Amino acid sequence: MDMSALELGKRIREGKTDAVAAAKAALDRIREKEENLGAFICVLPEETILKAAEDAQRRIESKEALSPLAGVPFAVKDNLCVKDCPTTCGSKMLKDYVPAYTAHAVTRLLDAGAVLIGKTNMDEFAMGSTTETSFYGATKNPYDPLRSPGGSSGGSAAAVAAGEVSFALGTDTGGSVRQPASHCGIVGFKPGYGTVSRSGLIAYASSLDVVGVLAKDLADAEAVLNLLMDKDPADMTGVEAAIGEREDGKPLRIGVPKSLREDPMDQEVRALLMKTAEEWREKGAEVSEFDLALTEAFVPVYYTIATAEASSNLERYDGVKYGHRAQNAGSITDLTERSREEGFGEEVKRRILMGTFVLSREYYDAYYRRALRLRAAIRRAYEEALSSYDLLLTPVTPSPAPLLGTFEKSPVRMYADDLYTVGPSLAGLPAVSIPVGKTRSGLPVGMQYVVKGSAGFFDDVSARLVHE
Amino acid sequence: MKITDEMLERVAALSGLALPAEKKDKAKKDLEEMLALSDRLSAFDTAEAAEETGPVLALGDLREDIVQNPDGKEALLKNAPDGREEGLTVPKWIS
Repeated sequence: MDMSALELGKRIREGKTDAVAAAKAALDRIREKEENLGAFICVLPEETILKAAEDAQRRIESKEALSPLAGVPFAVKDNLCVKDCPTTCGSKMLKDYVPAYTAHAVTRLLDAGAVLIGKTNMDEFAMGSTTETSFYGATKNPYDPLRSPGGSSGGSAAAVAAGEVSFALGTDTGGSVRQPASHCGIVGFKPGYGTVSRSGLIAYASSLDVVGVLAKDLADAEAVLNLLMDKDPADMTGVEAAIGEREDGKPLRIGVPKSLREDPMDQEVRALLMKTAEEWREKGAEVSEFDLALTEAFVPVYYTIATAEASSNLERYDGVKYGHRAQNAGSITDLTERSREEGFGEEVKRRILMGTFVLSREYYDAYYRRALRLRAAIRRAYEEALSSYDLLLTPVTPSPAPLLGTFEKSPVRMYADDLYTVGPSLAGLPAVSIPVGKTRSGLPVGMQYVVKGSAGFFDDVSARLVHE
Repeated sequence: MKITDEMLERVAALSGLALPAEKKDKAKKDLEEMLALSDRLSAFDTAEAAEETGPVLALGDLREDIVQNPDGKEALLKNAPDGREEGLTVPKWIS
């Protein structure tokens, strides 16, 4: 399970191993690691997995499924629906929810012959950066059990980093794929908004939510994304992935936002940022600092918009159609209010209250509308930056993986750490987190690259984005 | 911004949340902290910021207004915490 997904897929196609052996190896690794990791909310029953692996193997042998990932075991964040498989979104609210259909992104992988192993742990409704807000307990960082793997796709990141699966799907609203990838020493790719269908993804903030990939390396991430990116009529926000344009033969132009110098950044992270920039210069790239406008507005704009959309999206949980239902309710209002109070965790309720507040008539202009306007200005700031640069380079987070419990007393303090990841989310741009090294205490650190378009990214730039 | 008891009760009602008495002080403090973050928005001049406040992307082609989903009533009702025969139940609504 330690080889890349592509290597494993190749060995399966060449008959050196098979899909059933790969699934068994994944299950062995899960039995060995899971007790001290907690990456999964639900591992599928062994017979279900082995049957799926046998089917995949048959399709490979009959040359019906010959995708690069046929037979390869993978996991899915528990906010993506899988038919007949409990899908909890990390919440008590959906403890007993069993979807009647499968998310489009997952269907694409199953059609390609990849073998689903289970559903991974996550912050409740993807609201959090540590996977600690999950109703099902915290996931631990594979590099240090006292630390968080990051979040909200912390289970997916930990499962890939620990070799329990070859790759995993996550979702990214303000950094939830990139940040756990950085904390777990793997690659996390957030595609451009709308390039992967959101059909079957349980909504958090619909104008920001994107299905992303957690993988061992960039080539694996590319292979998965190639399967995911297609036009799905069920998602009306779907678009073709943009293609980054760059003149042939010209050196790569890399911009590092200047305001970063003043940011509260861990010294070791700063040193790795400088080292990464220097390595690019040595490879012949033109690296320069520039002013990225409005960076101080990123976090407030993000949390205003994301909570507003969350409060609206989560209105649907009323104890009637699906989800937790309070017992002995006296009236319909009592039923709704108590079902939500009992079913949602504290972070989710905080964000619903905040989102409702900024959307209320008296405060709409001061908060929500202002945030929308600034978001449009932020998008223009990125467009301007990417007209001068091929890539924007920043850290993923100001510091390495936090100790579990760090943000228990002041959850709002956790939001500030999203500084680098929420900008590309607000602008709808693709961004990737790539491991660049470790701190002296052995914790992985990733750097984020923001790019113009996912489609051209791999042909053009990614081949050079290899850090040892 | 200072959140009063009255403001909290109003936003909780709008949010469809019944906050137990012992959680109200913490909820007020948290909401104040979150609003302090959003209050930073007032430092930016939005006069020059775009007028456009639409979604990130223009919507793609909208599909025809024709029902395309198969009839999944039975499957959907399975998830209802109190689904009966062909319907969902709620507490008595009209007296």
